[in-house]
Amino acid sequence: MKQPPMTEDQLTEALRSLRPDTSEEAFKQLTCSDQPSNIWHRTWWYAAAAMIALVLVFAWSWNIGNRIETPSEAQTIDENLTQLVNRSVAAQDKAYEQRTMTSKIVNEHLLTIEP
Amino acid sequence: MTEQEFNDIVTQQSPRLMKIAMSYLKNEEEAADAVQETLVNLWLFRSRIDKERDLSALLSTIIKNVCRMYLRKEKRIMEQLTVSVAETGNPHQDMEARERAEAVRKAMRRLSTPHQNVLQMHYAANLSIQQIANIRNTTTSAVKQMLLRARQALRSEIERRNP
Repeated sequence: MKQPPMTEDQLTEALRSLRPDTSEEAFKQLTCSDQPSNIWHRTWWYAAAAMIALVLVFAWSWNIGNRIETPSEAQTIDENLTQLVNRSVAAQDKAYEQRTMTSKIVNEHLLTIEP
Repeated sequence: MTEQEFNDIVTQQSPRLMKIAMSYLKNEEEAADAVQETLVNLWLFRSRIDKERDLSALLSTIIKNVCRMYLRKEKRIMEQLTVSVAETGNPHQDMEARERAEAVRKAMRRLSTPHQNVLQMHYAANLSIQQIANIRNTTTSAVKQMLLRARQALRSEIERRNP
């Protein structure tokens, strides 16, 4: 339904009848130094920081676990092992050669001895 | 709290409140709005504030909470207007007055922020022209001019919604 236009007095009266929220709750919301919503807000920040810290710790430990498998280190270890094996084989060959030589000398010596 | 006491507080505290608001909002226009809202709230809740209370600390708390409301885009005290029409004894007149007030409340939401603020301060919070001028750091004639323009904008908004 079409309403007649408001007079200036009616507009003023209508404006004066508007009231802001001056309840006790509104006052507490304004003057509370640590609102519940602020606490929640802060808790979310703490939770987010804890999550980031967890992710960082996990990434760090993962990196430590995988570090032994980095190509350069693995290659060094392989080379060291190969050297050790080679030395061991060379030492075994030498020992075998010495044993063969000794038994040959002993046999020749035994042949020269008159029964 | 008298009007003179309030004006003294506005003069003394505004620069400090502006610094706090700037540290939160990093925007001069929004910070000025937050300071204005803090001072309007001080006037609105003046009857609840004890004389012994440290006013400076209280204002710091209020402006911090107002800034947090700005940052979270929550509805502020001055935006939550309700209609309260004085009963005249004539139900028909009362209903018409309530309808007009409701139309004004809805139309106000569509006005620009400065127009909304000046109407809310003068009519809803009952601040005088001089008090508004002090809060906005301007002259009384500028406030009167702004009120006039805000009323015109409000009227055209009501007529636009009810052609």
